[in-house]
Amino acid sequence: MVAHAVLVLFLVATVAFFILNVLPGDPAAVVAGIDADRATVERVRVSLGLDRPVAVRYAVWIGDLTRGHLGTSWTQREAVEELLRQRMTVTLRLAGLGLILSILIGMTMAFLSFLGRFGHGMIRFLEYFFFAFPQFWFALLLLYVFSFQLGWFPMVGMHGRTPFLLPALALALGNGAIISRTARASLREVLRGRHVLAARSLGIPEPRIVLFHVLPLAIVPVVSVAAIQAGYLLAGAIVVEQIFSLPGLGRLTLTAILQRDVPVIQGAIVVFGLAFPLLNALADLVVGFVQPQLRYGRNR
Amino acid sequence: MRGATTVIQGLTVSLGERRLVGPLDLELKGGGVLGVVGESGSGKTLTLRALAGIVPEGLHALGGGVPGSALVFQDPGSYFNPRWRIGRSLQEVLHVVRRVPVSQTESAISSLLNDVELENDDAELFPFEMSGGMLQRAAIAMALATEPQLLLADEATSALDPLTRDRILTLLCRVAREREIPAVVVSHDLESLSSVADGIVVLYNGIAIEEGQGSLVVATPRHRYLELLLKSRPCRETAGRVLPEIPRGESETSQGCPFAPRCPNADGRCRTEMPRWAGSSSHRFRCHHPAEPQ
Repeated sequence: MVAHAVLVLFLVATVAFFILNVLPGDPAAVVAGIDADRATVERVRVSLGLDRPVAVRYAVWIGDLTRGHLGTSWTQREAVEELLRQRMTVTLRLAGLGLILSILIGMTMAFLSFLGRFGHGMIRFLEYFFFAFPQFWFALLLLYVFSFQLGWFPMVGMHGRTPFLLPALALALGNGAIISRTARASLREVLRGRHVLAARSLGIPEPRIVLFHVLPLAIVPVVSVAAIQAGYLLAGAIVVEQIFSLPGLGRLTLTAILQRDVPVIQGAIVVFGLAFPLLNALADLVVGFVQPQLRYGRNR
Repeated sequence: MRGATTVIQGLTVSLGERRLVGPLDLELKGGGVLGVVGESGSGKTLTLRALAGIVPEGLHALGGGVPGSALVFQDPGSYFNPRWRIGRSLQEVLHVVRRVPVSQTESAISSLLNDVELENDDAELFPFEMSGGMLQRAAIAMALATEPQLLLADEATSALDPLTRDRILTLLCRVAREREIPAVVVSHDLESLSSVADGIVVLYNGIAIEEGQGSLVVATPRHRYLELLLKSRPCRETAGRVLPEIPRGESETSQGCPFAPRCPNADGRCRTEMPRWAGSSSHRFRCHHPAEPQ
């Protein structure tokens, strides 16, 4: 598991480095500014270390990475890992809340779909609706209705008590639809299972059957899907952060892209790349907890 | 209620207008084992489900739903919550259904396991760690944990090897006798069943066509269907030819004998008139042209 994550990290770091360093254009000129003369650009180039060959710069990048250093921002003159760390909390809180909301929304929808034919049709429509529209559209819609018209939430930035609720909701609707679809299929499968019939015939009350005999089995595929979705939630956070003017990783990355601040872009790519194996490992742990078969070899 | 006889009268299961089982009269003696025999599709499982009161959605059952009945299924592996150790599953039934305080469930679990000839340590196993025979014993323990008034076994032995099958059948009979509750055991294995069951009912298309003491029914089958069924064991000479196939396209006769469309001895009367019960109280049958006892 760890070896896997390290390999992914190394590959992501390598690809990020080479893509950014073969891009056309002169980063030194951008950093020095439009009006800068040739001598200034050269001075900037030397101070950024861009006069050294690509191989040397790659070796330095990987070497720094093993020590947990991601380089220094060209525009802000600060350690990249420090910049990322400051912005990370905002994005993690946003994506985390988004994940929780999407699981709540998805599971609620899945359960409601079992309440009769009308409920089923309604939920299927909602699933398509939530899934078909992009996150930024929901973000704008929510912002318009709840902040602009109703005034329940702040329009921009980190004000008020719940600055994350609306953006997280905008993130969560599409993912909730995917989770609902997965959960619906899996619930239907488990409910048809013989052990449910058996529990019923033995006289176990229905709420207890759903809670202890159906739900723990039905959430296995949901956990796997949610882990994959969590990665996309991080990516979606970039866009939604912009709309809600939240100072997260997304805004840092976007600003860095516009300013050609290569070390910050590289650092952001590595952080996002690392999120996927970490989330998958987390999902494996949860699934292992739910399914005793998978724990078997290790326990005895 | 112990030792008492439960009489089931006019048990039917229907799908809309179509009657799948019955009307069926069954006498369930406390401590006695009733074997229900028939080929696939004869309504054995539906009969049991109707007795337990859990027929599949869309079907309509009358005359069943015996309170306090417990089912044992054919495939015991899928009978258990796969996340729980056997002991936890037993505890669930004891605590939630029987309201035994959790502190007292441990002794109850070990006595149940002993009843079905399992070890105390087996409570620590997950269902996927047990063999078919062990699982079926555990499934019987689950059923017993509810303190049932009626024990129902649906093809409980069909997936087992012959030796284990006889052991499980004997076990079912023993626990029913010890608890003085009736048991209904459904199987297509007439021979094994007749040796342990007190009574046998032979079903064809959901209708009882012959019933009585197991040994008598097997030794001297009177209904033509049962006679042919007993002869139709796999064998090179007669392979697949003893019991005629169900003729396609022919609608099931609603008034006559259900076996008439397939019966080599059938005449016009068989197709229009359901035979009355004949024979003695220990062995009776419904056939216009019964086989002569040899």
